Amino acid sequence: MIKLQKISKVYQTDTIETVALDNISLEVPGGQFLSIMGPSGCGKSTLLNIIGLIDAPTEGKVTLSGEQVTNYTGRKTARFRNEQLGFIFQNFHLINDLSVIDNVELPLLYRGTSSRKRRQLAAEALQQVGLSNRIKHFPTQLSGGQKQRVAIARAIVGKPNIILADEPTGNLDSAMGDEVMDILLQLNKELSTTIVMVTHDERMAKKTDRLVRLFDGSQVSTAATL
Amino acid sequence: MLLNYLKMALKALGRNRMYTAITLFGISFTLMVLMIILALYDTEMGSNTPISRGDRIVNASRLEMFTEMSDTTWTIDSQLVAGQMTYDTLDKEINSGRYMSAGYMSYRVLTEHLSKVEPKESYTLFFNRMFTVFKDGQKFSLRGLYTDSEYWNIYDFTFLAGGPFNYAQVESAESVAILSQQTAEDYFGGIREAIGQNLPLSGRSYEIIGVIDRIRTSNDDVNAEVYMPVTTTVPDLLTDNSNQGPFQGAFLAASTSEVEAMKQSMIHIGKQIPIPPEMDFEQISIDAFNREESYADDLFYEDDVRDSVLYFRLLLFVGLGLFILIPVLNLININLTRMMERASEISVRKAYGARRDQILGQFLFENVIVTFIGGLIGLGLSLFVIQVINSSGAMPNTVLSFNGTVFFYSFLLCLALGILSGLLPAWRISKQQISEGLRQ
Repeated sequence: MIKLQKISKVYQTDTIETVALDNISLEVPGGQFLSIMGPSGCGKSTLLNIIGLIDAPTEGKVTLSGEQVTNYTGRKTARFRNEQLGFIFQNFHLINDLSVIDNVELPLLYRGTSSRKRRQLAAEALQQVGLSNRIKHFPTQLSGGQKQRVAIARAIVGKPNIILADEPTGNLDSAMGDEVMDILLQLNKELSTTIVMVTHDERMAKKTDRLVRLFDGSQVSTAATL
Repeated sequence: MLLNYLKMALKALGRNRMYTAITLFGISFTLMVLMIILALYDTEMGSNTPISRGDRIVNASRLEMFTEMSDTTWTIDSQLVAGQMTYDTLDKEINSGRYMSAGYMSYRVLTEHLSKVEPKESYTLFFNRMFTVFKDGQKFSLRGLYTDSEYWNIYDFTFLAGGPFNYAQVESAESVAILSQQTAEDYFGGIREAIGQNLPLSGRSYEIIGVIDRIRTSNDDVNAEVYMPVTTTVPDLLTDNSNQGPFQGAFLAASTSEVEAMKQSMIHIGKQIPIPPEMDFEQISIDAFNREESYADDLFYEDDVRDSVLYFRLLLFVGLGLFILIPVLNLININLTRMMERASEISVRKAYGARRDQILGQFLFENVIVTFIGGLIGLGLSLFVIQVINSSGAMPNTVLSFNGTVFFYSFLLCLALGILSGLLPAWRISKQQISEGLRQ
């Protein structure tokens, strides 16, 4: 499902060269819930960005859902992200000017789905995360946990094959964090969606199928957590 | 999709009231001034009564008799050749000016010469004269215009009462006159009341047979207070043998495609008009001007009217361009700051599949919406200011109005302002990398 071959990422300025990822190879089978851990600055987010086609690797190949996407350009990348990927961010990144349901509809907007269908699918996604009673609210009226649930609904509304979550519980207290984690686990189980989650929280990582540890841009271990 | 953008645009407006107030003030004030200028331009140059056929009319507005004068300059060049000084001379004639006499033309020039202009649908001749009349101890200064019956076919005046004088009335020099609405009201106390009344002018008593609606343009060809048959003027003016006189002509082409040919014919015939032997001139010409050329010539009076038109257009476009430029630069600046604040939104949209052109389109659309809201306020303001200008008498011979044409061009202006002030910021913001916005 996700195949990374010898991925390196080097950030270069006039004076400094920073190696963010060094020769990472990783395979994540379809339906697996993978967590990535490591200290700050070890390249976790960079790796997630490369899988999410947000960043391009300096070297190596990325294959997602059987497609070799490393050399995809603007239009193709946009379309692939829209159809195959869902994103969840630590800071939620909801659009405050749009209502909850409008936020959730966003991925469908760029897919050309009719407005009626969009409403219906967004309402279903919100139901899945238990927020059917908040569809007309605005993000500023919600708690952190609720915001993250909206973000999850937005990530799943387009039924992507892969969900990429960058510290989804990082800004939440443990109760809310558990709530969000339960939803992700449930999605992974029920829809067989592949999930790659970056986390600092050992407790959360242990709930996933497999844990990859990074250190200074290199993969130091990979293990099944169960 | 557009509904989503519209929601965003309205929300963005409500978010920072101070910014919104400054932006909307800038947009609406700029558009207000531009709309008033447009209204003024349309009043003077547009196809409105009584010059609805303005694009088919060419005026014979000036006759010029002249002699080109030249100066000769001598250049002496010296050089040493084989120890001997040699000299070379060069003489060069420079056109140093004209000795000339220019002005309006005589009745004879128009009826005997320019009447032969082809192709034309018809032509008219006229001249203006000021009159002073008294009624009940009150002094009235009236702008009079003497003309023929064809005048009323070329210019489409709206009659509030009665009608124009006809060919027979002009031929028989009947003392009939047509009044402007204002004069009918001021002098006779009303439009209907004026009909059949007599107005004493230059020793004649003119019977009022028509009253015309207020004229919106300041154009002297049509703007007068009393119109009389040309045959009722001083008879000498009609029989005078000289080339110059008080008359102007207006020639109507059957279609706009014939205008240029008609104009060339006027210029050609103008050059053939004989110069009386007692006049010490070598050449003669007629200025055949369309409306824009007449305005440009009044303003710049260059030897070649094409230069005047060029300066006139430059003045119009450069002036307007500079006027728009300053608010546009300001708006670009404000918009850029505002759009940067939405970096996170842009990244999320891109992460979820928005293409660069879609981001660009969204921000442009939002900006155009904001501009149109500003445009609506500007429209309200300009209607108010036009009302004030018209009723204050600041421009006594001009009545500004906001018609369909002005509205259409105002709409285009709003669109242009929206796109101009939004394009650069939207272009820059659409280039933003996803990861940049996600760091916020």
